[in-house]
Amino acid sequence: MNDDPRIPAIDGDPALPRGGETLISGASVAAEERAYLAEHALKKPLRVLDIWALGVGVVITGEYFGWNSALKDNGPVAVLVASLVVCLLYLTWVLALSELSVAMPFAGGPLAYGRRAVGPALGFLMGWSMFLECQFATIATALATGGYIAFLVNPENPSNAVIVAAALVTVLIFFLLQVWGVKEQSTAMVFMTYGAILGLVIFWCLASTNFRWDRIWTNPLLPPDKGWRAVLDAVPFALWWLVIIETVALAAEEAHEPHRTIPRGLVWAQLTLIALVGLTWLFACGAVEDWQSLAVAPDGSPISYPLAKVVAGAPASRSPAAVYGFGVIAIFGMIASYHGMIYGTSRQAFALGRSGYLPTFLGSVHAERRTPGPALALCSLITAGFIIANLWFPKAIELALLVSTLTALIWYVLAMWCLFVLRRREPELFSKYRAPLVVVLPVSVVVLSVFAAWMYGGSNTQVLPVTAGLYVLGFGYYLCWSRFRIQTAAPEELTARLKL
Amino acid sequence: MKSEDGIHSPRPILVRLLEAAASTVLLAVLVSLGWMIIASYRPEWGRLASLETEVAAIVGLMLLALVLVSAVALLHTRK
Repeated sequence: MNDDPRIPAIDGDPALPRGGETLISGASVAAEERAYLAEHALKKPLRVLDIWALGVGVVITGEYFGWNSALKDNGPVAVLVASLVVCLLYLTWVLALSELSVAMPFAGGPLAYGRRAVGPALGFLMGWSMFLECQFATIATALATGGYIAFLVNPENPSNAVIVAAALVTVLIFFLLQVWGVKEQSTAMVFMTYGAILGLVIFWCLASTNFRWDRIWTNPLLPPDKGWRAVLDAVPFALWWLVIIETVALAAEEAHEPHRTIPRGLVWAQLTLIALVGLTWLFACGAVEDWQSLAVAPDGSPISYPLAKVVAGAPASRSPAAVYGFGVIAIFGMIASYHGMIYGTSRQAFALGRSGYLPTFLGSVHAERRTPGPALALCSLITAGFIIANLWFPKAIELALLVSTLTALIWYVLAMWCLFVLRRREPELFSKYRAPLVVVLPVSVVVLSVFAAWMYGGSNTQVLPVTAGLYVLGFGYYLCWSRFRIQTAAPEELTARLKL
Repeated sequence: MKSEDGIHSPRPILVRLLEAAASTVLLAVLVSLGWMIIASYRPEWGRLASLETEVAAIVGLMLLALVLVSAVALLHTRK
């Protein structure tokens, strides 16, 4: 029995986790398992505003960069249709995810769903997928932060060395903030999210001074040589508008009353983001003469600062102060998302380490602050390594972005499989919260995800071998090493084993 | 809609109608994705009208689905 007052008590026993609404009874948990849980427990301070801010903040970088690559050879109307498909995918996804997340409110998220529905192999596969999704999103966002800073330093010719240096500083600052404490970093996230939204509002106002409808509703609407194929080609990049909102599901273990805070916070975050997507697409595409210039630089490299480029060309921002002012606020968008993404990456690494699927040192938490320091350190080091590699591989940002979205789609489909299995086998698990549109909703998530994933095969084949290699690496480690060393006292394992 | 003890209570007819409409439109969106794939790879097959009409119809359908699913989601998490 753990008497540590820092660990919130659940039904009288501070060490025991919850599985849905049912608590694991003390009688069924060995003393050493209870001690392990107490040693690896997280605090639970997060409320609806924190969840909303985490959801919006972690995704909002998608409004600042990444989606613009979808414009290349496709045009604004194709991007609009692809974006609407993506908005629908994510709206249905967050509703279905809320059901799983409330039923199994653990930092492991997908690891817990797969472990309980099918077994350890699927649990690892899903956990590894989300780890890759968050890790590569973190890399892309750190590089984009560097891109915006380099644009501020030299708008004519942003230097790759400045991009790398600024990205590395971002990694270091947010490693320290995350290690500091979960409530402290959550408060910072709320303010950064407000700053990121303010940055977009300023962007809309500045871009509106250069807006013309005929730049959006083009003639012809879709490129004549591609037709509807342009919409399909735009989908993988349009996913970046909203990918990674599922990080919020990992916060369920740190949420107060997750059955209320998670669905409400997630839905409001998603609706906020859909509004931001629509307005950003409208003003960005309507304010530039040549939408192709928002996607690629003259040297062929992808543009990581499209909104700054739009602002620089708007009549209202003739003075350098407007461009620099927007650029500084835009950095809020980048760092808010980086902050949320490193949270997601570290929590997934922490959960995989705590359960023994990855090296167990990743599952340790700081004795006082209860933050997963080793997981944060490893994820930050991996990000820093890829940032440095960008010096020799300038297209790293595009590759990171596509690996992130593809691995996300893989586990969305697997998560819906888990939802169907668990609803049939353990309906009581979902007694606290059940998503609306019971069957159509998860079916829509599966069809929309498969539709989006299929688009990679046609137009982005370079990402497939990299992603396949990462899965071989992870699954090889699981098969040869970690499946013999799974920690039975981890919450994800305990609830799956006891079926409570 | 559920009561506090987790037992499902009867939902108002308006909510049920809204959910039925959202389900129907979502299914129509899924069908439209299939049509989009056909129109991409076999442009000569299954064309409905002019490109402008097709784009307007698809955008309208997607927006309607977004509005209906959003309304259902908000009603569902209101409590």
